[in-house]
Formats: sequence, structure tokens, C-alpha cells
Amino acid sequence: MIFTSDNTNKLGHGLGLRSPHIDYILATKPMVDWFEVVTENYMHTRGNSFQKLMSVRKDYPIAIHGVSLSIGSTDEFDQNYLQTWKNFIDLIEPVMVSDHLCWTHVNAHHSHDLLPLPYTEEVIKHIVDRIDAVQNHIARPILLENASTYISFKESDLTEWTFISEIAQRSGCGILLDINNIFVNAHNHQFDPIEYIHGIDPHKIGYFHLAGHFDKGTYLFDTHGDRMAEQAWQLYEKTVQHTGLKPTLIEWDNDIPSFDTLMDERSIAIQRGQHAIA
Amino acid sequence: MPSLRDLQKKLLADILERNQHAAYLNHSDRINAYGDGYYRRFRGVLQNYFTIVRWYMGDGPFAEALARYIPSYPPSHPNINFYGDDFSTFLQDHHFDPVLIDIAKTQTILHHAHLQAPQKAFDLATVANQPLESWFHAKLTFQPSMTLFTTSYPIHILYNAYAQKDPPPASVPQKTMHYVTHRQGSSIFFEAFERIEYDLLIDFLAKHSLGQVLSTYEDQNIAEKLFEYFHKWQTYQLITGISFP
Repeated sequence: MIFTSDNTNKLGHGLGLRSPHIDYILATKPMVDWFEVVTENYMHTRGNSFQKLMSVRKDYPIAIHGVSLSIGSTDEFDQNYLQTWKNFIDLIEPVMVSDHLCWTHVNAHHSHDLLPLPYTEEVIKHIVDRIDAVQNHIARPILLENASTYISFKESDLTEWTFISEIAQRSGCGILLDINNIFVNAHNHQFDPIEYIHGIDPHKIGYFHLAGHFDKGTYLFDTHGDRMAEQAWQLYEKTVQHTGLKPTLIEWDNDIPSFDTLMDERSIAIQRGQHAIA
Repeated sequence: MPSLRDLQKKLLADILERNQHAAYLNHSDRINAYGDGYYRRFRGVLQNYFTIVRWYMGDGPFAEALARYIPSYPPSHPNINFYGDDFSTFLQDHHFDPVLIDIAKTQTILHHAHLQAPQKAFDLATVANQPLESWFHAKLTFQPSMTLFTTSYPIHILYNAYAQKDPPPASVPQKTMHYVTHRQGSSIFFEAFERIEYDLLIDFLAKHSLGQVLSTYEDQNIAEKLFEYFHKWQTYQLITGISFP
């Protein structure tokens, strides 16, 4: 199963769908190309929130973005999770299915955090096998997002971009490229973000995530709680110059602002993308 | 070279212990970016989940209870929204005020009732012409969100006080209550039911037919009562189907 971005470039500019905005969206049907939802907020329910998602789905394409697949974990897959996820996918028929290139649990202890992996050949093989199992289970390719990290493993002998590229190449999965996370990681681990961007095959990129971060003094922390920083916007433009325009999504999870603020951030993304290719 | 599994076990342990001197990591001084987040995330989930427990307990004691719960109940569900499911068990195991245990149990039941799909309520008029004898074998189905539960205290009084923004009462009299959850639009409510009505629902939920249920009650007026209850259950939109095998 091989992901290529050829048929998804036209999706446009989307927003993360957050519960405070759903009634407003259903009532006003704003001009947004698509929405992304956090998979785990909906996959275990058929209650009110799920019913509202189904209503939104009538008017907009929906992408689902998970946080608990734990593709890098060394625990066995939770078959109950996989089946519930597949049932949800079958019902929603999302335009894209994604999770993170990370691990979240070991010994069935769920951290509910996106924990870093060592960048080694052994880990690539481990993850490629697991992606294969997952893609066969849901009968479609997935996208994996580059996660923000604050620590790294001394035993890593590959760059982050080589690691993610090799996994995408060998497994056939796509990449959900989070520009802010590249910016955060470049600062935290002292690498050149442009080198990262040029190390990624544009055809493997399903879409971009744009979000805000917080400067903790000695490192940058990925908060999804603010507008995108100017330097991260500049990196977005340089990325678009390299990859061409791709579907782009504004992600905002903490201190959720008014819907107008999200729309404004989306407009900026459209302008900065156009500026990049002009 | 340690295996990936060993590294993962080590990293999770170091995050929980906030070990800033892990030799296998670069920037291990930043481990609290994960360690602080771990506890903050679960506190946040539990604070949103157990609003009425928190109100009844008070902010300080509630924070102390969470500080004990989080390390002793590692999350085992892939969905963080289920992290509070064991909280009432924790309160029970640690001999907290039994009122708190009942509140936590109620909040957990309501949380799960919310997750169930709403179904169209059954219209009794559609079976008005069923021959009388066929009712003996009739079986009822109910809203998936309908849950029956018993508490040792009148928890609905506390919910009302919370909704009125009243302070928690100094004491709550012990009284066995039989509650049934029901849906109104997008909201889930719970209502105190008489014991006999509660027991009837339990019997119907066990897929017993109308005839089977009625034969177990000695009350001469049970059929009459059931007729009244049917209409009440319809008002609450509890019944979603009646089958006549």
C-alpha cells in the first residue's frame, strides 16, 4: 500500500475541528475546505459529539488524526483499539488517516504523550513492520506526523529526516509534515530545518500542520495554543517553495480561540503559501 | 546496545521519576517537559470529569486525591477520556466519604451514557392494534444510554445544589436510591425511580417477555402500574422498540 500525494493536493486549507466551534460551524457553514478531528475524541462514542461530527461531514471532507496508535511501541497492538479505529474509519470515510511517528505506551501503561524514538535502522525495521500490519488492517495507507521532541537518544545514528523518509519509503505510508514541529526540533536539537525539508520527498507529504509553540527559555515547547511564530511561517514558505502547495491545516488545541481567529490564521496560511510560489 | 523495549521502559520510568540525569539521553535536563505534562494532562482530564466530586470535596482535598490517584492508577486505556473510570474504585479502596464514592460512580455512569448513540423513541401507537394475547410474549428494547444504578445517598439532591451554585451540604442523609439515566436531546439526566419500577426495567433489560415479567410479581395491580410506567418511559423516550416474536 503506497501513499502518494498526487490526488490530495487540491484539498486546500483546513482547520482542526474543536468542540467549542461545532455548533457555530453547523449553523453558519463557513468557507473552510476541510476539517481534521482528533480520532480518539470520536472513535469510542456514537453519542452527541459523534452525531455532530456526522452532520459536519455532510458539508466538509474530514481527516482523522490520532494520538494513540503508538506505532513505535514495543507492546503488541491493542486489537480492540485497531478494530474500533477501523469501524470509525469505515463510518467516517475520511479523506486522510493519520497518527504520529512516536510511541505512547509500554507494558500497557499509556502516557498519552507523543514520546520520542531512537533514530536507528533497528527502529526503522520495527516501525515499517507495524505500519504494514496497520495499513493491511484498515486497507488504506496512513500518514505519520513528525512529532516535536525535547530530548533525544544518544544511540540515534540517523537524522530525524532520514528516519522519517526511510520509514515512509519502505512502508508506503505518507508523511503529515508539521512545520512548527520541524522548527521546534531544529531549535531544540540544533539542526538546519532547511536540510530537513530538503530531505523529505514532496510526493510523500499528505498535508502540512501549522501551529504555535512556546519559548521555555532553554527550549521550545509545542503547545498548539497560539498563532504560528513568524520564523515558523518563514519556514513554511521555504517548505512550499520546495514541495509546491499542499493541503494545509491550522491546528489549535489549547486556549482555543474564537473561530474568527482560526479563520484569520487560515487566511494567513493561504497568503503565505501563495507568496511562496509567486 | 539496549533494545528498543528496554529504552522505552527506561524512558517512561525516568519521565515519571523526573530523572534529569539519564545518561542515555541528550538534554535529559528537559525531561520535565514530559514529566510535568504527564501529571498536568491527567489532572486536567479528572478535573473536567469529576466536577461535582471536586465541588463536594473542595479544591484542596480533591487535588490531594488526584495526586494519590494518578501514580497509583497508570492509564491503561488508549483513550485519555476514559482515565477517570477507576476513580470511584480508588475512592472506595482508600475509604473516602461514601457520598463521594456515590458521586464519582454517578459521574462515571453519566459519562458513559453520553457516549451511547441516541435512538428514535418507540411510538406505542404503532402497536395499538396488536392482539391482546401477543403482548404476553412482547419484549422491550431501550435506549443504549439508559443505565440503571443504585446509590446509598440521594445524589440527585447534590446535583441540584451544584446546578444552583449552592455550597455543598454539611451532611447528606443515607438513603438507598434507584436511578435511571435518560436522554433529552443532547443531554443525559438521571431520575430516581420507585423500587418496583426499577426492578421491572431490570427484568425487561434481561430480555424477559412481558408475560414472564408480570408472572414474577405478586402485586395484584402490577399490570395497571406497568401501563402507567409504559407511558412514563415513553415520556422519557426510554423505549426504542417492542418486538412480538
